[in-house]
Amino acid sequence: MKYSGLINRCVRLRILIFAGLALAAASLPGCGKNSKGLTVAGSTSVQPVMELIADSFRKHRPDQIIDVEGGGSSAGIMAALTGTAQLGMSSRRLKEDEPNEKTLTAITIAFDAIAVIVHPDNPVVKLDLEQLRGLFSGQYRSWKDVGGSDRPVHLIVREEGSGTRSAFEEMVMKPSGDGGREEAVDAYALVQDSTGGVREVLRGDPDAIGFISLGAVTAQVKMLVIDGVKADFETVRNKKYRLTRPFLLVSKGEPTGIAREFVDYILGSDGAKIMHDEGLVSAGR
Amino acid sequence: MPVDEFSAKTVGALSAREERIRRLLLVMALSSVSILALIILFVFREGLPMIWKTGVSAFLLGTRWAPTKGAFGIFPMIIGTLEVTLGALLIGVPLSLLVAVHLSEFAKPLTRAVMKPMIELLAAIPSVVFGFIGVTVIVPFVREWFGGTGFSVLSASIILGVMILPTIISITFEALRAVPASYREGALALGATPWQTAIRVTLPAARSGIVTAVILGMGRAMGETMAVIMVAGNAVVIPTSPLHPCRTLTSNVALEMAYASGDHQKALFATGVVLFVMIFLLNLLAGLLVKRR
Repeated sequence: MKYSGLINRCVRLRILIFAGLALAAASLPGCGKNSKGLTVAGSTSVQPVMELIADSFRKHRPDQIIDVEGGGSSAGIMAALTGTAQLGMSSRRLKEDEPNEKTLTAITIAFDAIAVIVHPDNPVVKLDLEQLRGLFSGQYRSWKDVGGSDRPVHLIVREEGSGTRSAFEEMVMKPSGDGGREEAVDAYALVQDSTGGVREVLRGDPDAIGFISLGAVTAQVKMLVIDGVKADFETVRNKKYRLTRPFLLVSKGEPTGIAREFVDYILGSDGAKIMHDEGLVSAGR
Repeated sequence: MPVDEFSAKTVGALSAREERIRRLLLVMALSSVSILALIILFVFREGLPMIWKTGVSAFLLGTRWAPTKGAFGIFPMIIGTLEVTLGALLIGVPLSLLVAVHLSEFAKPLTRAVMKPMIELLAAIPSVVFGFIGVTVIVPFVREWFGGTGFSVLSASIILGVMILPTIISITFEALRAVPASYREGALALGATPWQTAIRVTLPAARSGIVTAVILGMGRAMGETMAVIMVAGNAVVIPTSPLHPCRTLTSNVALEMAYASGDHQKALFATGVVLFVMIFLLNLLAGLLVKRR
């Protein structure tokens, strides 16, 4: 009895503390963050190549501190807008609701292709955009529907917020022509939070289909021909391959000073060479 | 007289020192509490406004989660969390109880001395290792024998069922050891077999300890993130079959945190708030059940 009273009091106390803290939580102010030097932040699709270019750039300008950070396309655009970073990296075009030309300058630095990949044992070698949309929207549930064997389709997608996913949705899930309504990705699609994750799941599952950056395609998976075009440097450069996306750098207004210098370096021959080695097509001259 | 004076002085000095140490320890204890307070403050400050903005019922009972398109319903994830936790308990609890009964009531001292530390070692295996075993062994096994993609509620339940074993076994074992020997002796003297004694007398007598063990195991299953992300498939659907993929609340936060910004990020904090409340209620339940002992 003695104990039950004590515990009862403890329980009540716990509720009180919990409720009190929860209430107090809503009223606290936020805190800001400052940064110095050239900070480039954003898309983790752009980040690896940007780090390589920054390494090379540092050799020309050892006096400058160049900081390359991830965070994703949306965060990169926000960072450029708020001034947390001078340059934001984005692996997708600016959205209509994002403050575009007026405040932000977007510079296309490269083109990347999204490769649609399947298990090497899958007999399917090519798809058109309609079929691809039908597969990822869940309309086609069997590989038979797109000319394969009578096996269920296992979809693998990236998580919400990923630049690769939003680029895929933009290019594949929206029927061609403006005004077409974007179809939702099938809810039963497996979600992986990295390119490596998508590739690993796909490697173990002969019925799976997924999408990753062209530069990340390995010999362990099979890349599909889309709309009759195989993705390679040539077809990405002349945009014959349908699933290409731009890599952008965004800045608030025109980039100036060291940011300008860095952008010019990226678009120059050194930048183009590094991008080529990474499987990207430079947008520079 | 002088002797008494001296000792009184020493005692006074000593007790002042004791008092200082006592205060220091109190400050230490409070610092850990204040860390908890700060975490709660931060999570609620970031998450609560988003729940109000979406609407409590739209957030908790909404079935569509497309945070980049303005849909924030986490109902499938609440169900996913509960299903995976229930599955883990269905697999883990019977196994744990039988292992604990064996260790406590039937095992020879040598067997116990070897098995007990080994089971406790199971708790020291990092969850990513469990996840890795899940992806390379359990998922292909489920895909080949039961169908589907293999990334499923079932796979996650199996992995979590194993992960909660050490928690439940250890606490149940201690609870069984705490049952007075006279209970067993009495049952045996009345002609019960050792098995009957263990199942009908010792186990019921240790009931409240076992309930605590199960609830702690449940908390562990609910909070596990890494291993679940690797095997559950993470699709935002209400799973109606053990072979369907699912996403838990913890997975949702970990999975989308990297690229989330704005409302999306706040919605992830709000997911954390819901998880927080669920775990808190669970702890409360545990407290109440122990009280009823």
